[in-house]
Amino acid sequence: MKRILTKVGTCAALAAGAGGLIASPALAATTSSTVATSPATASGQTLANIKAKAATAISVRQNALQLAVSDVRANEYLTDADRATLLNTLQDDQSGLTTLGQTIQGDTTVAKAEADYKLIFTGYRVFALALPQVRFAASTDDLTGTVVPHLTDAQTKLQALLSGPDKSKDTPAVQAKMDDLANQISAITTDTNGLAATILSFTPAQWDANPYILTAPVSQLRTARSDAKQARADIAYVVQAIKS
Amino acid sequence: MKRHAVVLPFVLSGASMLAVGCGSSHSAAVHPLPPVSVSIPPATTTVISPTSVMSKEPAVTTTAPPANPAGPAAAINDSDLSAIQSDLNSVDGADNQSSSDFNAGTSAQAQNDNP
Repeated sequence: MKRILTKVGTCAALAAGAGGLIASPALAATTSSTVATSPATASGQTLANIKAKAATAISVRQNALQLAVSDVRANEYLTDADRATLLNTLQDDQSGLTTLGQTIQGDTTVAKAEADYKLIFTGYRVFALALPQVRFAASTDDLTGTVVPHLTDAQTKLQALLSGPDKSKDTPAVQAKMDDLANQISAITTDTNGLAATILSFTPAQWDANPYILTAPVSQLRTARSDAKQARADIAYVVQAIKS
Repeated sequence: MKRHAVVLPFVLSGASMLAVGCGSSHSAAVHPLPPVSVSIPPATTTVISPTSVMSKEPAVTTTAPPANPAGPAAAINDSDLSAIQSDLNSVDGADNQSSSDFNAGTSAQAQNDNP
């Protein structure tokens, strides 16, 4: 995946210039007793220690990615196209991490293993970026794929009723709600237009340069979700007015 | 009801009608005419009673159909409102999913992602 290649290329350079790994006391103790032949770096890391930590870090991320895959597959509110995009993003990361894990387990020097180990984080940013990207994009797609179409459908039906058989119920208060409903749908449509694609476009390198890169689009998503709730409330008000 | 007043119980009998219509004027003792052989089909009796008539006809409904034109319109209204309610249910389901996805995203962000 291009996103991964970009990440790996950028992060490999970062890793090459980075210092040694910081080992946890528990892991360091285990390593010292099991790997006697592996030379330690200045940070006290051994090759086996790095490989063990890498395996754990990758496993945690693979599990989180797989959970997201399951959730996306089970999400009935996504369009097929959106679902495919999200799954591709997740599965590319799964594939990349699998390959990276195999690379690390095959590394023969501490320096190379350290560099590859850092790629687990800097090359993918699974928790900081990849999973939030997919989750926020899914949240956006839930709105565009299901919420907005059904809000619009309800709006059309209500307008038909208020123009025809329920014209007597079209009071100024009801019309104000209908006007607000139109405004909310328009706002949601504007806020979510291209939002999922924007969210998914960010690379780990961009996140490293600006860890707040998702802040603006997430704020936009939050606004759209709030607008959807208001639109829903408008519809409920008008329905109640027609029924009364 | 007028129709029921007309249909009263009575009996039709082929044999009885023949006797009534021919008995006195065609007596062999008064007019010496050769005997006439008349073949009379078996008598059939049909009994018509108000009960049988009513049972074969649909009951007469005296209740007038709804004169309020709002009747059919109300049915359409209900159908549309049901469809709108269905829309709202879909909105609610998708909104809940959107909320779940959003929260999962923020939860992921909260985790440490550094070596």
